[in-house]
Amino acid sequence: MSEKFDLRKLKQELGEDEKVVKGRPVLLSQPEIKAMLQKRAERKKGKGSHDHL
Amino acid sequence: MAERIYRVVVADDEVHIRYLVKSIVRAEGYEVVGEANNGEDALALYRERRPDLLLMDINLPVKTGDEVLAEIMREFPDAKVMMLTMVADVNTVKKCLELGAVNYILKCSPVEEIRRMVREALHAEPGKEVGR
Repeated sequence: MSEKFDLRKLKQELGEDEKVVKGRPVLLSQPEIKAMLQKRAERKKGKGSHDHL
Repeated sequence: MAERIYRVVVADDEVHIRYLVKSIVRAEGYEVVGEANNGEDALALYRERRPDLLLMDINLPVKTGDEVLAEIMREFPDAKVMMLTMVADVNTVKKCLELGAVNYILKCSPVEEIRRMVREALHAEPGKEVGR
């Protein structure tokens, strides 16, 4: 228990971990891609119907 | 009245993937009117043959699939380009959907799913997206 708690060092390590996590690519599954396709179609449909107003 | 035969171009740098995709397309009764093993040839083939659907990978030599997609959509806003790729990165998927890819399917999907999505893409109205 002689180890001192170093807040600065801890913050630095957390920052480095965050960089690694953020740099990692987010991979999608086919159902997730399908959901994106559906959302896009809904957005376009909404925009299209608004255009006709 | 005779049923319309859809014309498809396949672009992938891996010959066995092109072979697989061509057999899926032909089994559906569609015609493969060209194949390319790089992005530049895919773009040239699209311009020359104006197919009903371009089935294209993203990681292509010379010009990437997303670059080709952008050029095609700029020149032919009603074009139907479907991405068939192993790239599942959210930013790439978003980019291709924003550029106007009619559909996006991962190569690891079952053949039946690929077949269904090709059918879906071909039967979508020009300029409209799949998903509804």
